[in-house]
Amino acid sequence: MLQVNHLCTSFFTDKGEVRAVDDVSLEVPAGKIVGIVGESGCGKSMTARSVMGLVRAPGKIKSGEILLDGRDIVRLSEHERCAIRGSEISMIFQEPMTSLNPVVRVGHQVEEALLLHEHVKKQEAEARAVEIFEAVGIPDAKKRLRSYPHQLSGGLRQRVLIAMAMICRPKLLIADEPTTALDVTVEAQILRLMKKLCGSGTSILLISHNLGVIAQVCDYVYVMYAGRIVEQADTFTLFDNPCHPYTKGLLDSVSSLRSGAQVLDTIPGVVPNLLHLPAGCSFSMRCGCCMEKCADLLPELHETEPGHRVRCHLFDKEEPA
Amino acid sequence: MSEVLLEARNLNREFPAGRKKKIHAVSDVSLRICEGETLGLVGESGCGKSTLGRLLIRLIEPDSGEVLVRGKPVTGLKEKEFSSYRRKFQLIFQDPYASLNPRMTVRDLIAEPLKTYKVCGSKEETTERVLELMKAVGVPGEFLHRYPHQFSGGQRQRIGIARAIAADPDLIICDEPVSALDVSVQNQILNLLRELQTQRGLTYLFISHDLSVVRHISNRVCIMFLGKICESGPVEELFQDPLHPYTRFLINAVLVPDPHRRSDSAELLKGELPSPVDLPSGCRFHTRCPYATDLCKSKEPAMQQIGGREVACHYPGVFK
Amino acid sequence: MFRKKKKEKEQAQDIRLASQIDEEESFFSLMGRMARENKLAAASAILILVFILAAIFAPFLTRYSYSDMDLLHRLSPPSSGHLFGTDEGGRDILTRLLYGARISLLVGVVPTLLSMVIGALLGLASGYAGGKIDALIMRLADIMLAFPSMLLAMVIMYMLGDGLINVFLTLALVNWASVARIVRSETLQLKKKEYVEAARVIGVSKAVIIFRHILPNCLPTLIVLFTLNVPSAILTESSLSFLGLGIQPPDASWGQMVNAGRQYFYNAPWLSLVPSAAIMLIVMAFNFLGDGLRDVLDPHQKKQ
Repeated sequence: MLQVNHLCTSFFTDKGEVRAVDDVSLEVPAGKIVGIVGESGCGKSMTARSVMGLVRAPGKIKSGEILLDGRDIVRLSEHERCAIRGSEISMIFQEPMTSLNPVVRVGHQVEEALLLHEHVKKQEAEARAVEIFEAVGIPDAKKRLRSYPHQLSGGLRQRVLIAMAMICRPKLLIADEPTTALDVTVEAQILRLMKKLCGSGTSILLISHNLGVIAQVCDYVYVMYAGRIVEQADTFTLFDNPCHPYTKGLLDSVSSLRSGAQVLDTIPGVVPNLLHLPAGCSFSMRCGCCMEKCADLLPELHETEPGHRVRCHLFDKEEPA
Repeated sequence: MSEVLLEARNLNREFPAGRKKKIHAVSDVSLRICEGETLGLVGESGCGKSTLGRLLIRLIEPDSGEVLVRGKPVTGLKEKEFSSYRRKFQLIFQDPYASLNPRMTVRDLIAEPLKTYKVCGSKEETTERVLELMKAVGVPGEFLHRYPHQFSGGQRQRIGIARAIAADPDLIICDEPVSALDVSVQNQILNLLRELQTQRGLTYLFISHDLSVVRHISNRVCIMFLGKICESGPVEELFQDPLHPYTRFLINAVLVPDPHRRSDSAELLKGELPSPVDLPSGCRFHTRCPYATDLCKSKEPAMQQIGGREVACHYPGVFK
Repeated sequence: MFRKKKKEKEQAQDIRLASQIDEEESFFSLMGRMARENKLAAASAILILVFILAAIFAPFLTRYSYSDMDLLHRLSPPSSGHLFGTDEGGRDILTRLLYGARISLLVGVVPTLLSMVIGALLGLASGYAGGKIDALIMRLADIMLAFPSMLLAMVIMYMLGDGLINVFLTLALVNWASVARIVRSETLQLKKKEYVEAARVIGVSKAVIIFRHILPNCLPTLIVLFTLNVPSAILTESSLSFLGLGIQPPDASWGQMVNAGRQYFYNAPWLSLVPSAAIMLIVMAFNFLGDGLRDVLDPHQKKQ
């Protein structure tokens, strides 16, 4: 479905080049939910924006290709890309409060994509909007079309956004932290909805910092740190057998919170500044198993078992740890 | 049980919301915080938990009800008379980006409470105290003259904590102190809060929507729903054996970070929070509660004692 | 073992961080930083300084008198004798420009500062206190703003009589209301910020909250307002002078020179053009300097 090869996206600031996404390759097969997990500033949102072609200046996709059904969408003109956006790939954002225009009825906002991409009649668009509202679980769909965003709760707004993204039946939905701004009880509802969507044939690229969300819904997971993918595996393998020290640290952090331990496991230090990354492994400054070569030599993504790759010198083929 | 440090009795607070309408932010809330304990306060956004925290330290005045500090009522006191209490109650904010004045250096930020209560005599002494505090919360002393924006979220939260403990308080209200932080940093801050509690004998009121965090740090928990406390009790008992249906749904909705334990079939709470402007009649939870009866729709349940716990439900434990 | 290594690493990191900057910044290093980062602002500061020095040392810079007429050389064009020519009374324009700078600079800066101080204080009080105080101050400001400002200035000047001090007072009284309005709305926004609430939690007094937490964060707005108000004050003064209510001839101010030269614009354009150019230069210089100051005072711009 979607294949990203060696994507590099950088920001060119006065202080130098910030490599927000550095040599990221990933794949979203049809009908699957693929997750990207990482802490804030690790480049997971930038990866999503790059795929959507929404990188703002001074950012730029430097190299790499993004293949949607085999077609490279990086090289498309802005006009061609607009045609794809909304109809073939859609995106939902983190903030259901600010992603809707406050002075336009939600029905109109949902129908807009349809009128734009499929040139249907107004009545048909409305019928489709009611249909999709019901599909995403908005009660009183007909009445709700005439509401303004401020009249809806956070959960309903996020459903409206999902409806907006889904109305043209895109093949791929990119969800950037879709539940972070929502309450726990609503979060579970939305995640279940996303699973349902996936079951009906849409592929989903789900971006989250929450390992709980990832564990619950994803089929395959990429872990990002400081702009690079450090580990990738299917969800079960990743949670059962994490290899990269960063992944281990993250999982330990979460599980120790639930274990009743008095002192929680942490990863020491802070996420490094993307302007001053070490030449080698970007996690080396915080890593408990850091070796001499880690600081100077960037590890490759090694395949430890089929479908499981790790970017760490501990798994170097020549000298296994 | 140790002495009751802070007690709230029947606190009410409404906010105007347009013409003739009111948001019932906090209704008839009573609670007790004992010396040295951590009381968790859990609820979804808009349930009034932050308002309750601010009512307790009089950042907001209640419409009715009273707050007692070690048994003495402080609600009617003038700001001047209250200032000796003010010093003893501090607040840690959710957003470490918004709660630090961007035009003040770390030194000035941490020195502010010291200056306000004239803890230190000279400028040198103040700086020394500031450095001590920075060390206590784990911010390197070299950053004395830096501005907040030069720090990461976790470090800013540490600065916020340093400000809170500077004037040597008894009680700290932690208003979602870790929800804006990344997982690994979140744990660092939780460890720090624990460490400070044992070193300084602090009492915490820990407000959060994250059940795992609350479960980790609290001794007792209050669950809030739409401005009311619906259940409270010792943390493990409450999590193991919830009595209020809402508590159970909250616990069910927690996303376990383990793909082998997917909650695909677990029963989920339907619908959304009712608006705090037009409250449902009777029990506020009945519109979302699958066990609601006619009694729930008409009569608001009173708080009842069951063992060491309190619950406001007509049918506690009905789902068992 | 890992733990020990971790400790060492943390220490190493601490040491590395310690070697980076971290000194309190003095006024001079602040100015130096501005000069490095914003050449235009530095040039503007120098230009303003030159104008001020020229105004102070005017008698040493010219051999003509600014008031004595020389009817033989009326309206003579720029020449080596009179660099910018002479006016309708045969007075050297350069000389009048230098002396006029004394008044125009004062008239630009002093009443603006005065109105900023009054406006900022009232705006802060109004925004922070709210309620009756707010209503009172804002209605007063509304009244001031409802009058056409020129008319208001004329009425006040007429009541006070002419003279430099009275011009200052008039301009300050006319301009404070808009400053107060803007500062008030800024205060209302800043009041809701979490760090202001944080200060209240600590128990910081109202005055300290206003002057340490709110006022410094209004600074960028105030600087922009200042740079906008200086030129408008210079121009208002010239209009007042034109109407015979401000600076009276033979005293010179730039605005008054522009006005006086208007009648001769087709025959002797330098009469108006030269003081106009001076006003434009000083206005631009204040604007650029304001931008530079705003950037350099913003902690976000500081190097990490």
